[in-house]
Amino acid sequence: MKLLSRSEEIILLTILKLGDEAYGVSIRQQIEQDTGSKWSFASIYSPLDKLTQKKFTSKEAGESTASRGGKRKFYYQVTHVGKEALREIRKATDQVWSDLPDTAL
Amino acid sequence: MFKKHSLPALVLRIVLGDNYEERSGDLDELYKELLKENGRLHATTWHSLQILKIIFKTTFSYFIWSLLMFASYIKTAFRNLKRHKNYSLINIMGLSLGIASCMLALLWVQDETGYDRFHTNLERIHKVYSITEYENVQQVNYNASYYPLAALIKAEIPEIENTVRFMTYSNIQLRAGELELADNAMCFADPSFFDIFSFNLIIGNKNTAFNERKSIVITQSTAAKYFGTEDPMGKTINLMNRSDLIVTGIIEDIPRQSSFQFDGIAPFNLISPSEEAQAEWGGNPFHTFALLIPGAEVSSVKGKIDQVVQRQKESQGSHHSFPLHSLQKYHLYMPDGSGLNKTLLILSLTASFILLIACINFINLGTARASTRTTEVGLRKTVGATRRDIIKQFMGESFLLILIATVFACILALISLPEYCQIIQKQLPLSNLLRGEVVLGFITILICTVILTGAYPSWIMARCQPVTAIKGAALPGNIQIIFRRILVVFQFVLSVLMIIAMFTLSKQMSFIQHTHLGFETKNLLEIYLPNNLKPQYDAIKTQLLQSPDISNISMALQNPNRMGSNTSAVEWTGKNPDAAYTFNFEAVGFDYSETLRLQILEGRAFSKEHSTDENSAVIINEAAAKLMGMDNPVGSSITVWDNKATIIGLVKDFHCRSLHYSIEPLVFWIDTDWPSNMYLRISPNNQQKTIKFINETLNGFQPDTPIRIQYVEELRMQRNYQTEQRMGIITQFLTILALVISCLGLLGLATFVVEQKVKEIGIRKVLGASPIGIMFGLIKDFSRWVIIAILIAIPMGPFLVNKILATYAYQTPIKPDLYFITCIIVLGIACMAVSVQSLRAALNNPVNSIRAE
Repeated sequence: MKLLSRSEEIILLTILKLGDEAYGVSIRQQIEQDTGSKWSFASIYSPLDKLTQKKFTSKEAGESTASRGGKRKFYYQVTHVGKEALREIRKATDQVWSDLPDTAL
Repeated sequence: MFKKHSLPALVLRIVLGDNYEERSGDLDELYKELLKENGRLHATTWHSLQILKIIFKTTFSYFIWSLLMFASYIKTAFRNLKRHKNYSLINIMGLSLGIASCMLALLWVQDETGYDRFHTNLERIHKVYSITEYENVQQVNYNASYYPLAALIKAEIPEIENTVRFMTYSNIQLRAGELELADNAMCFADPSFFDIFSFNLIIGNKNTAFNERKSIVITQSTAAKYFGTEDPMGKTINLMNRSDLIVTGIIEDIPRQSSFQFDGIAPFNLISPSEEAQAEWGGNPFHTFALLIPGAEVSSVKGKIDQVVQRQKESQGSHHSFPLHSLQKYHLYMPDGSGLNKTLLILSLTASFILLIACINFINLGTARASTRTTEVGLRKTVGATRRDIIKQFMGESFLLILIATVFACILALISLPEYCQIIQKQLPLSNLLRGEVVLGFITILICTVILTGAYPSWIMARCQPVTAIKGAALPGNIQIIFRRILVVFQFVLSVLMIIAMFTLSKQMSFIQHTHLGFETKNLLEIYLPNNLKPQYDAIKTQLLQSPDISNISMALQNPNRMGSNTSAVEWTGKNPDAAYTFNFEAVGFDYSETLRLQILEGRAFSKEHSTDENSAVIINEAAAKLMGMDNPVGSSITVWDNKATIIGLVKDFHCRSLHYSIEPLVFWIDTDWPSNMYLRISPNNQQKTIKFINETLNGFQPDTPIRIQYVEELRMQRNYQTEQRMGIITQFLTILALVISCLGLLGLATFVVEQKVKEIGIRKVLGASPIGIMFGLIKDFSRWVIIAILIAIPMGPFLVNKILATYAYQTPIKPDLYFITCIIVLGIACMAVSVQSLRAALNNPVNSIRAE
C-alpha cells in the first residue's frame, strides 16, 4: 500500500482527535492550533477529497445553521481502512526514526 | 459572503459540484466570525482569496492532465492527417466549402432579421391592409388604404392608441438655393408618424414640426448635402418645382436596416386631395399603420376594424376585411407567408445540405478507414485508455479537422463576399461577422458539425475489442458497411434533387424570357415624363417621330407588364347588381396598341379621327369580354366610374403582370393628362444613336431635366423576377458544390476500396482477368449506389418541381428529358470520380501488389 502523504496524515489524525465534531472549519482550526501555521481551505479540501475517494474517510451531512447561511455541515469520520493506513505510516515513521544515533540531531 | 445567484457563487458551484454546500458553508461560517472580529474589509478579502485558491487548486490539476492528453491527441491527429493526405484534402475541402456556404447564408439571414428592430414600439405597431373579395377574384391590397380609415379606427376602437397614414416616393426633386437633386426619397406622413415610429428629431419639436402644411423635416445627411455647415432650420426647400417648404426639424439618418427609407418627411396633407375627396372610401396606395395599446389582443382588434368600417362604408357586393400585419414581420414576410423569408429559408437549407454532404464524407471516410486505426486504439486501450478517452480522442480529431476547415472557410467567405453581395444585391458590412448573433450562430454550426462528424466514428472506435484489434482481425461489420452505403445514397439523393431544382428554375426562367407576352417587349423604350415635360407631349412626339428609327410613340399610366391599378366601378347590362367585380384599368395615349404591337381581334384601335374616342370609348381584353359574358363586345356600351362608354375594340389577352399572375379583365381608355410614361417603338438598328437623339430632343424642350430611358424588357426581368434571378444564380452555384463534394466523397471511398483490394486485383490479373473487366467491376460496385439514389430521388422530382413552380400562374412544361439529363449527369460524374482509381488499379502490375508478404 502506498504511504500517506504528510498532509493526509495530519488531516486524518486531526479528524480522529476531533471525534464527532470534525468538519471543514473545525479541522482547519485544530490543524492551525497544532502546527502553528495557517492552512488555506483549498489545501485542506484537496487531500480530504483524495482521502474520501480512497475511502480512508467517510463523509456525512449534518445539521444546517444560520451562521452557515442555511447550508449543512459535513462531518468526516476516519474509516477502518483509514485507520489501517495510519497504523502503517506510524510504523514506517517509527522505523525511519529508530536507530538514529543520538548525535545526529 | 455573496448572494446566492451572483457570478462567483455560480463559478464556485460549477467548480465544486457536489461539494458546494459543504464548502461554501464552511467559508460563510468563518466569514461571519472574521466579520465580527476584524471588520468587513478584512473578512471580504479573506473570503475572496479563499475562493480563488479553491478554484485554482481544483481546476489546475484537471487542466494539466487533460492538456497533456490533449497534446498527445493533437499530435496523433496531425500525424494521421499527414499520413493520409488525400483523405485529409477531401475532408478539409468539402468541410470548408460547406462551412463557408453556411457562413455566408448566416450572414445574410442575420442581416435581414435585424430590420426595424430600432423602433421602441416595435411589438405594438401593425400595418392595416385590406382584402377585398370580388365575385371574380379575391384581391389582397398590401398597399392600399382608405383616407378616412386611420381616423375612424383610432376614434372607435379603444385598443388602438394611435394611427398614421404615410407614403414614400423615390426620385423626388428637391431644390435649396442653387443645389437641385432629383434622387431624393420623400415620405409624406401624418404628424403622429414621430410618435409611433422611432425616427428621432435631433433639432426641432416633433409635436409642432408639422403645424404648418408647408413644412419639411430632413435627415442629417440631407441637411449637410443641401446646407453644408449652415443652420438648416427655417430655410426653404423647394419640392418638385411646386411648393416651398420650410425646414422645421432634423432627424437622425435612417438606419440601414429600416423598411422605410427616406431623406425627408413632409406632412401627409401636402399630397392628399381636398377634404371632400378624403371623405370618400376609395382605395389608394399609401400605408396605414396602427399603434395598439400595450397588451392588446391582435386578433380581437382585427374583427373590430372590419365591423367599424362596415358601418361606414357601403360595400356594393364586395366583401372587405382589414387584417393586421405586424411591423416585426413586415420586412421578411408578406401577410400570406411569402416574401423574403422563403428565399432565406431555401438558401439556409441548401447551404446546410452542402455541409451535411461534407459531413457524410467525413463519416464515411473515417469509418471506412477505421480498420487501419484499430491497432492504435487497441494499444491505447491496453495501456489503460477508457472508452471515454477514445471517444475524446476521436472527437478531438474531428474538432481539429473542422478547425482547419474553418480557417479555410473564413478565407473563402472573405474572398467571395464582394461577389456574393453583388448577387444578393445587398451591402453586408464585414463588421457583421463579429456581431454576437453571427458568432453565436456560427459556433452552433461548428459544434453541430463536430458532433455530427465525430460521434459515429468515435463510437465505432471506442467499441472495438483490444485483443482482436491488435491482432488486426477487426474487420468492419456488415451493419457498418450498409450504413456507409445508406449515407452515400443519401448524399446523392440530395444532389439529384438539387440538380432537378436547379434545372427547373433555369427552365422556368428561360420560359419567362421566351414566352410571347401578347405584345413586343423587345426594342420598346419607357421614358418617364416629368411634370414639366408633360404639357409638351404632343410636340415632343411629333419631333421624335421624325427620326427614321422611331416608328411609334404612345404613353400610358403604368408599365404594360406591371399593371396594378384596378377598379370595381364597371357596370354593364346583364351584370348581377349584387355582385362586385374587379377590372384592371390602364389610361393610355393614342397609338398605344400600335406601339406595343397588341393584337386587336375585333373592332379598331383608338384613333384621333373619331372625336368620341377621347371621352367615351374603351377597349377591353378577352378576359373582360368573357367576364361580362359578351360574345361580340364591340359596339356594346359599359359604364366606368359613372361615365358611359362604348367598347370599340377587343384586344387579344396579353400578360399585363408577371407570369406569377393569371390574366385578369382589363379596360383601356384614352386620357391625355394622367399618363406619365412615354413608350417608344424603335428599330433594332442604331439603338445607341436613337437613344442619343431622344436625349437631345428632350433636353431641347427642357434643359437640365434628367431623363431616364429604360428598355421595357430589362425592366420586366429586373422588377418582376429579381428574386428568381438571384436565387437562380445561388442555387446553380450551390448545386454544383453539392455534386462536387458528393463525388469527392465517392472518390475517397473508391481510393480506399482499391487500396484494400489491391491484392485481390493482383491475383485476379494473374488468373487472367482483363484490365477492362476489373475496371468495370469496380465501377459497377460504386455506380450501383448512385443508381439506387437516382431511383429514390426521381420519384420525388415531380413533387419538388410542383413546389418550385407553384408561385407561377404560367409554368414551363417539364418534360421527362429533364430527369433523364439529370440522371446522365450524376451518373457520368460519379463514374468519372470512381474510374480514375479503378483504372490505376486495373493497370497496376500484379507483381507489385502480390510481391509483398
